Amino acid sequence: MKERNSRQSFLGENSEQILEYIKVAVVGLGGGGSHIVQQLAHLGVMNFVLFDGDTFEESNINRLIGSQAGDIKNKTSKTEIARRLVTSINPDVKVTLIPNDWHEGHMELRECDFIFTCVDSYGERNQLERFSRRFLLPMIDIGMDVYKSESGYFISGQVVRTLPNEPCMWCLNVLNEENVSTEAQKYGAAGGKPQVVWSNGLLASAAVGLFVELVTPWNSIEHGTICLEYDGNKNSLTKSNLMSLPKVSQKICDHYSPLDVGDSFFLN
Amino acid sequence: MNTFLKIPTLLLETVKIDLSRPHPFAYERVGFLLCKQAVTSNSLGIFAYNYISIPDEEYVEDSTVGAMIGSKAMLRALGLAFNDGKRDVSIFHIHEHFGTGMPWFSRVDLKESIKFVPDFFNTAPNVPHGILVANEEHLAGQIWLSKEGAPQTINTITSVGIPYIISKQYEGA
Repeated sequence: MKERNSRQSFLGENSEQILEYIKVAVVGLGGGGSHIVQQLAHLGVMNFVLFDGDTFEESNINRLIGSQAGDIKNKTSKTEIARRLVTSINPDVKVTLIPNDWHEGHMELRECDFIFTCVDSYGERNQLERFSRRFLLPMIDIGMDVYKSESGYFISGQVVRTLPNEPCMWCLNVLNEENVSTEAQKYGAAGGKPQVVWSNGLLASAAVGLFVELVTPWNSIEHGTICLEYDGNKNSLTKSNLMSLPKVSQKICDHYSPLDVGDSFFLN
Repeated sequence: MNTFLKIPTLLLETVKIDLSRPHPFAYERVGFLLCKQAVTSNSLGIFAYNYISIPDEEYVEDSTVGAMIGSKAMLRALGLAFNDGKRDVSIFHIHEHFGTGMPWFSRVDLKESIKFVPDFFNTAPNVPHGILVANEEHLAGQIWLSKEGAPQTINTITSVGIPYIISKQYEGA
């Protein structure tokens, strides 16, 4: 094992090799995704496919890891900031940048081994999960929100890991007809799309933890699909009560058929 | 061409349970994985979704190989390749070896597969087919992209689930 990984040798003797082999996609390189790519690079992941169509704006600097003051003037793309970040940690990483909507890079996405989704909308989460099922991609999704009630501001969020042939985000009710069709997010209550660095970091760290426990066998895990809930006011991250929904606890998904994999037609 | 195959871990467990059952006279068991396909920017992906077990009575006694199946089992596999109700299906013959580390095929495995895998193209000519070998830890495979072409090693095989296993094999291994 390389010296740089010696402090994480408990992840298993093959962990270094696994992390070198695995190709990880991160869709969305804002407050959550930028934390994730940074941690993955430190961890030893060597193959990245990074998706984001945005360029850096001044309002991003409160949370976007790896950003610099000069990126405001230069209107640096978020993919370029992520590339700069991961290559500064490990110059040997292979990075494919898709500075565009993820649909534009779907051919690159389908050959990945793992996908982190850090997107704003439920509709995109839904599409990405459907994609992950079709191409047998384990997926970890993070999301956070700040909303206002009569008693003040509340920060909440969730981290969801779903695996093909296991309960999905529909099973967990993270996705439902209401939020997918209406995008019923209460953005705006705390100014624009409210995001803050500490809660993004906490959710991203939990997401990376769920990734590591799946791909390197350091810990026996009970659930492939798992949902963690973050309460920023109570400073707690706990397993969601949604895990006790009958179909989730029985590990049944009736939203996706195991038969619906690969291309719908094949051109050789 | 770079190739990869993915199989849900739950499906792989079903395969292994079936293949590990003793047979009345055969030394080992075989089965068929049904797979669909996808092209990517740089690769060809194969996605396993179902497994066909071979009933005891469809094995043929042959002391020169670990397991020999009869024409009925083979025809059934060919029929599945022809049509799963929607489109052509890739068929991957699978069997198991004992041990750990990266498995590989015996000389007999390779000799026999050259005889029967090209037949899969008679019923499903437009999709790739192949062979797989599993052991306690990993999977390895060969893929035929056409009936006439030589098989090539599948570069990466991933068991997606718990445990999550990546088996990487380099060309010429």
